Amino acid sequence: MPDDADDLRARVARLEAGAEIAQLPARYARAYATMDGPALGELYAHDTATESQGRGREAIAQRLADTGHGPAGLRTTILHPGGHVIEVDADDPTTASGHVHSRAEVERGDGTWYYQAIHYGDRYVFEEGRWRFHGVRDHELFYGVEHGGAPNRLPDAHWPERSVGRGSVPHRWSSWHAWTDGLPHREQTQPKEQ
Amino acid sequence: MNEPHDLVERVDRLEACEAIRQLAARHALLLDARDLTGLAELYVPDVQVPDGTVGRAALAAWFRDGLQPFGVTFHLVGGHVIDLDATDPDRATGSVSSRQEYEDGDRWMVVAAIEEDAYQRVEGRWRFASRTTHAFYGADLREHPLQAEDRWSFDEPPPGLTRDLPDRWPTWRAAWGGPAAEPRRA
Repeated sequence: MPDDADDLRARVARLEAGAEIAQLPARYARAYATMDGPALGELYAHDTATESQGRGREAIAQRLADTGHGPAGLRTTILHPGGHVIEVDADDPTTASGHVHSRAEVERGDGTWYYQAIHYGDRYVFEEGRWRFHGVRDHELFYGVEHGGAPNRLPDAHWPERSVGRGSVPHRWSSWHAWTDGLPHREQTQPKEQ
Repeated sequence: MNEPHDLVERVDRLEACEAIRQLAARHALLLDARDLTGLAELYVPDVQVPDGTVGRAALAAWFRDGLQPFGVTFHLVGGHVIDLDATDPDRATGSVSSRQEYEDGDRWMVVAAIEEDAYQRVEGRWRFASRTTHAFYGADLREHPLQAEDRWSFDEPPPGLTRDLPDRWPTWRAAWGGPAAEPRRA
């Protein structure tokens, strides 16, 4: 029955989309660990715009290379992606969005070590036969902290200006505002500027 | 035609696993964003709340009460074991390895835990039928986990968490004898 076959084909396509998109954060982590710019570039749509390196996959590769030198450069990057929420767009099965929690450990060029708790807000697009990141990932910090330290009472990191400090989540989320507004009066957990 | 029918069942199982993986990821995100209404919607409508009440609104209220002492939280979901029920296509169980962080006043608590879940498909959507969280330890980021009494230095633990691993597992007890929390000094 062709209707059943079409339905089944569509369901398998959705499963394949989910499985391929779930691969992207793991491949991203491997590309950062290995400092493999071309492999990282392949994970992105061909016209991806970067902040200061221009557009395209070579720009993505250059963006990674630019992090890899100097005392503050990413000498060792260990990314441990966790939960991945994936939502394929209902009206366009070739685009999707996602949320990824990730824990990072980083050795800087100067031998110092820090941790970050990260939320990535992602867009994905099916392009040239593969699912890819659509635009640079929206890397948001819960916090970054030096080895041996704790995030309590850290000032705002103003990420990406600084790697350690408090970040923009969860405070940016409307549900967090509703939560804090409903709490009995207590000390604010918002970071204070120092 | 056996083959297409068989294929439908196989696709259905793959979809079930994917939907259940999404449940665990959404649970962490919604909890950390304190979207407790959205969090409760991940559960079956008649969910049993640990305080004896029933339903999603009661569950959201229970989370709200239990999370009030804490500031920022961060839930990192790891490996997810999923066992589909061989006899009931609308039921499954699972366990999720999880690293959880809780801002607790001037402490930053880290919990290594395993969630024990039951899942149920209700009106075509997979939901949590139940979830309990079993912790190996809960200690400040700067603290050695064994320095904390009973490996658990919360004044008031987060909702649903119990420090009972690895002691809870009969296989672990068979291997080691006594409870993990006992000091192991010679």
